[in-house]
Amino acid sequence: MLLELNNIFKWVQQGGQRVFLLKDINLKVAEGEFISVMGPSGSGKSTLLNVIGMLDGFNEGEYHFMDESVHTLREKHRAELYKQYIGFVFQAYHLIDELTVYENLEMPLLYKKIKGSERKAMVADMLDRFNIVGKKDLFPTQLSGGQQQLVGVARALISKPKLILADEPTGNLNSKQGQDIMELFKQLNNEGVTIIQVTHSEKNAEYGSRIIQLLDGRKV
Amino acid sequence: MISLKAYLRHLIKNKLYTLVTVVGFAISLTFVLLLSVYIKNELSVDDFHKNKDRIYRIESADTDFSGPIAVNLRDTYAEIQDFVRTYEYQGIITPKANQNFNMGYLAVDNSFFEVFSYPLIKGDPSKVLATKDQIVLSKSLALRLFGTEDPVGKEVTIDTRLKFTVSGVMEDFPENTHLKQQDAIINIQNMVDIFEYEGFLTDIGFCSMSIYFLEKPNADLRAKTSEVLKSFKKDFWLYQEGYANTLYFTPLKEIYFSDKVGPGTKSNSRTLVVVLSVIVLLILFLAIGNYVNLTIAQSTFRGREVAIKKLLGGSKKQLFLQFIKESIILCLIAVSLSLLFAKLVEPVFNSLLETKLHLNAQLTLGNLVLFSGVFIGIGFLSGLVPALRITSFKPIEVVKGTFRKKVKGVYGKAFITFQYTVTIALLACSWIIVKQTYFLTEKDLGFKKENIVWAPYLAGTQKKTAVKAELMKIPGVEQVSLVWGSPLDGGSNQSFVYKEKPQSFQEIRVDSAFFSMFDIKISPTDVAYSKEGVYFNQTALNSLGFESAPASFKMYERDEPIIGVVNDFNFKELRQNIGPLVIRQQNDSAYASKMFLKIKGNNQLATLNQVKTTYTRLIDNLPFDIRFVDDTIDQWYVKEVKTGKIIGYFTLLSFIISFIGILAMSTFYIQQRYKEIGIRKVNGASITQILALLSKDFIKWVALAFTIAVPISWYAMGKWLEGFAYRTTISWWIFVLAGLTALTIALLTVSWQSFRAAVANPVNALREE
Repeated sequence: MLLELNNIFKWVQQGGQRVFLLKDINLKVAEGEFISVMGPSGSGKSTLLNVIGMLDGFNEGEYHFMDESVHTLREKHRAELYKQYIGFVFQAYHLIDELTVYENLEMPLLYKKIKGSERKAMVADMLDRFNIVGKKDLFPTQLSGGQQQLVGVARALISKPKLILADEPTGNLNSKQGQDIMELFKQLNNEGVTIIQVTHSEKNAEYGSRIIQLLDGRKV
Repeated sequence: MISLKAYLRHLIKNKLYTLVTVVGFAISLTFVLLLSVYIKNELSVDDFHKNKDRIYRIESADTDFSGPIAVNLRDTYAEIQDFVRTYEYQGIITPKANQNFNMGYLAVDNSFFEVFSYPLIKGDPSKVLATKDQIVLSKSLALRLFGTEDPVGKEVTIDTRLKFTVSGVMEDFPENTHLKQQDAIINIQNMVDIFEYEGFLTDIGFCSMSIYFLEKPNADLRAKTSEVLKSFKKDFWLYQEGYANTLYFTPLKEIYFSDKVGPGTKSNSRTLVVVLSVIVLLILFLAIGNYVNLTIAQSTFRGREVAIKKLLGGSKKQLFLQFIKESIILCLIAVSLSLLFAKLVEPVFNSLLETKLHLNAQLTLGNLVLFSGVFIGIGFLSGLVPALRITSFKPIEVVKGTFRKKVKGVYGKAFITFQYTVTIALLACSWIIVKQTYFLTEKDLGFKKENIVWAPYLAGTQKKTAVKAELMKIPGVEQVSLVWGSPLDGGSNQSFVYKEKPQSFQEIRVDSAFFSMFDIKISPTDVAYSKEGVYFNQTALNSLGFESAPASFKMYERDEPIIGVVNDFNFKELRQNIGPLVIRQQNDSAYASKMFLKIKGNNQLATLNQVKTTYTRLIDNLPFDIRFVDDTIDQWYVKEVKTGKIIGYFTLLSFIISFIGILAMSTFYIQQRYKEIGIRKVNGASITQILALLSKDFIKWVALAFTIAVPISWYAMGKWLEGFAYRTTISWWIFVLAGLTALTIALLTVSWQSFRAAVANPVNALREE
C-alpha cells in the first residue's frame, strides 16, 4: 500500500461555525494506480490533493504514507517526505520564467545535491524522453501551453517520484494538447508511476483506473 | 549558479526595478563614500606629528597672546619643554634683482621643525632656522623662484630690504593640518625688523600671535590651567582689566576644531562634521530602507518562484542564502557604480566642501578590504528582511494562489513617513539658509559699496599725495581714499577704561574722501572742526553712556575733541552687531594700509587696467591684487553659501531617494489592491474616484511627516540663526511650501501607478484571483 487515509476531517471556523472541507475521507491507494478525483466546484478535490501532497494539514484522522504516519510527523519531516516521493503538476504549470527549459528541469536536482555529471545525464534523458531537446534553451514564455505543461510534467518526474499529483493538468490547454498530456500520463502509469489527478472532464477521468467522486467534502 | 543566472535574468526583465534599485542605491552610496572619506580626512588632521600628544596651543576666547607670555610660562612651569610662537604675514620676496614675488609666510621660533613634524626635503630640522637670516622655502615657492636649481645657500631679499639665506626646503604643508599653506618660514625675531617695532616679541600688550607649547614626556600641562589663569588674573593686564577671562590649553588634535582661529590656521566646525556624519547614516538608512521596500514590493512576483522551489525540494536555508547572495550581488553592482560616480563627482564635491579628497590616494589594500567588508555587510543587512519575508511563503500558497495577499508592511508606512519627514525638514532648512544668505548679502550695510575697488597701499607714506594725484588723472577714477582700517577689515581694536568701565572700540583712520566715497553721513557737533578731532558712531556714544555727543573724551591720556557723529554702519560681517567705532582723521604723513578708488560705472575694465598700470609703476613693480568692495563683502558669506549648497544637494538627494521609495511603495500597495480596484470599478467607481482613493493614504503620510518635520526644522534653524546678529525671519510659508512640494512629488509619483491601475480593465484583475 502506497498511502492510506483513515477518517480524515478538515474544517475551517467561519462565523463561529465549522465549515467542513473534507468529511470522513477514507482512501487506500496502491502503487501503480491511476486515480481520477472528480466533483463539482467546491467539493474539496483540490483540498484532498493538497492533503495527500502534505502541503496542507487536516484536523482529524490518520494518514499513512509508505509506512510513515504523516499525522504524527513534524512539518520538517513531512516536507522531506513529499520532496522525496511526490512530484507536482499544476494547472498553471508554475515554471520559473527566468530559467530555461533545461534549467527548470535541473533545478530540483540541485536541491537534492546531485552531482553535475549525473545531473546532466538525467536532464538529457528527460529531454530526450519528452522529445523537447530542441527546446532546451528556450524560456517558458517562448513555449505553447502544451509544451509548458510537458516541461512541468518532466520536472515533476525528474527526481523519480513514486507518486504524481496533478491538479487539473489540462485546465489551461486546448483539447488536443490535453489529450497529449493524458496519453503521457497513461504511459507513465504503465511504467509504474502512481498518479492521482483532479479533473473536471469525464473524458480525462476515463484515463484513470479508478474514479473518486466528491461532493461537499464527502466521498460518494 | 542557476539561481544567480535566474536572478540576473530577473533583473534584466524588471528593468524599472533594477534601474531604480541599483541606481538609487549607487547614488546614495556615492555620497556615503565621499562623505566618509571627507569625515575620515577631517578627523585625521594633524595625526602625522610625532609629538601630537604633547603639543598644546594656549587659547582664550577673547584674545591672542604676546611674546613674553611664552617665555614666562616656560620659565615658571616645569611641564613645559619648549614653545613655538607663530605669526602670519605677507611680503614680497626677491630672488634676483627686479624679480618680485608675493608670498605669505609664517614667522616662527627656531624650534618649529623639531616640535612639529612638517617634513623638510632639504635641511636639518634643528639647524634650518638657527640664525635670524635663514629662510625655509616651500617646495612650490622654491620651484617658482629657482626652477630646478638647488635653492639652498641662495640669497633672497624680503620686502626689498632684508637679506636672507635659503637654509632648507620643506614639503608644502599637507591638506590635513591646521596650518594654512605657507610659501616660506622665517625666524620670528625678524618681525622686529619687518615691523620696525622693537617690542614685537617683548611687549606684553602685543597680543597678536599664537603660542604652542611642547609638554615634557609624561607631564600634565593641562592640569596647570587654573593655576596659570590665576596668575594671569594677577599679573597680565588683559585679565586684570577683565577683557579676557578664559584660558585653555588646547591639544594639537583639537586645534583644527577649535572656535579660536589663530594666525595662519584653518579650522572646521565640529558641528558640520557631526551633521555630515548624521547625514551619512541617514542616507545609508534611507538607501537600505528603500532597497528593502523595493525588494519586498517585488517579492509578490518572486514569491511564486520561492514557493515552487520549496515544493521542488529547496530548503528554507538554501532559499534564504539565495536571497542574501542576491542582495550582496546587487550591492556590489551598486558599489562598483558608486565608485565610478564618486570619481566623477569628486571635483564637484571638492569645490563644494572646499576640500581635496584625493580618492586615488585612498586606494590602499586596507581601505579596500574595509570597504568591501562594509558593503558586503550592508548587502547582507539589506537582504535580511526581504529574505526572511519571502522565504516564509508556504508552498500551499502557490498552489492556492494566495501569496499575493501575504505581503503587507506596517513598517513600510512608517518608513515612508520617515522619508518624507527628512525631505520636508531638509527642504525647509535649505530654504531658510538660502533666505538668510540672501538677507546677509542684500542687507543695507549703512554705506555704499558699489563701484568701489580696493588694493593694498604699498607706495610708502611719503608718496601718498603723489599716488593720489596720479590716480585721479585717470578719467574713469572719481575718487581716491587712503585709509588705515576700513569697513572691510573692521580696523584695529582699542581697549581702554572709561569711567571705570572697560571699553572695546574699533578704530579706523581715514582721509576726507572716505566719507563721500562710502556715502557715510556725518552730523557735526558744536565743536569746531580741528585736525585732531575724531568721529564717533552712534553705538560708541551709547556705549560710553552719552545721550548726545560731548565736546571731547579721553581714550588714553589725551583729550580728544569729538567733531561729528556718523550713523551706524556695519564694519564687520553680519554675524556680529555694530560695535562702537571711532574714526580718526588721517593726515598726509600717516601710515596707510589700503587704497579705495571710486570708479565710473561704464568701461570699468579699461579703467581698472589703467589703474593697474599706473599703480604698478608707482610702486616699482610690486605685485598686488585689486578687488571690488562688494565682491569682498560677498566673500564673507562664502561659508553660509557653502552650507546652503551642501544642504541643498542633500535635499535633492533625499528627494531622489524618497521618490524612489514612494514609487516602490505605490507600486506595491496598488498591486495589493488590484482586486479591490477591479470590484469597485465593476460596481461603478469612476477613474477619478479610484485615483482619489489610492492617493488618500499617501496624503495621510505626508501630512504626518509634515507635522513631525516642522518643529524639528524650526528648532534647528532657530539655533543656527542665533549665530547671526542680523537674521531673517523663519517664515511660515517656507514650511507650507516645503510640505506642498513634498505632497506634489508624492501625488505625482503615486498617480502614475494609480492611473495605470485605475484605467486597467477590471476583468483582468478579477480573473487573476
